[in-house]
Amino acid sequence: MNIQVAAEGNITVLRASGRIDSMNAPQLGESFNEHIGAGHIHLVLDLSAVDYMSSAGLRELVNALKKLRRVAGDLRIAQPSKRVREVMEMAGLDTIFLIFDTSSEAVESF
Amino acid sequence: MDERHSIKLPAHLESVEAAQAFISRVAAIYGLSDDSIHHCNVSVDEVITNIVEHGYEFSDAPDAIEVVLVRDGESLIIEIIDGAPLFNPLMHPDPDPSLPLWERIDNGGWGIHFVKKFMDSAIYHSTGGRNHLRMVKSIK
Repeated sequence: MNIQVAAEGNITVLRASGRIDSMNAPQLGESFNEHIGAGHIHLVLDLSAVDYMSSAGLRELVNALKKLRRVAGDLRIAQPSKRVREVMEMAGLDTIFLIFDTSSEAVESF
Repeated sequence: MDERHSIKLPAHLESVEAAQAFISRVAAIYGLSDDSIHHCNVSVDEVITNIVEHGYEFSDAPDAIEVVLVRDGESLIIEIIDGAPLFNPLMHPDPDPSLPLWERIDNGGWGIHFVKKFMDSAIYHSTGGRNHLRMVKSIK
């Protein structure tokens, strides 16, 4: 998994690519923690280039969301693939996260 | 006539992708759809990850985990066998997907939840001191 970071105003967009599973989900979590620690509390996770996510990835998303919402921030999801959306829905996360069709829409929603 | 394929792997997280490549290859030969193959792969990921992290807490033994595929008529049977301490993962309480964020605690269970949703059936048994998790997916 590769994570590219871009700042759009005070919104931080993390664009992940590849697969997110038990091997590399901690890396995603560390990236979230790094940004939260730096005061970046408005995050967009662009999943357009992620073709696979297991429960390990979902765990990191939920953990990050809790940390962010405690400080009045948020983690919003952009462009999950059909398969990623499927596991998110199966875990009920589609009612917890704000999910957008594009990264631009996610950024503008803040 | 049953057609049987198997692979043996160490209890490392790297074994997940090896198992998935094996399953993808065999399942495609038997005509499973891409979506069905994906469901099998997610299920196997979740099961093997649990075996590695909680069962063995990692093991270099090359045969720590065996993944067996059998075609049985119009079904693909995936059986995952390991020698970690006996444990039935299907007994883990099902997590509740309707829980709001602040009521969610991280006590696991989502992996097996996906297995139960993605696979047509999942059954556990122990034989000869080894865990066997048998999952079935219809070939369609």
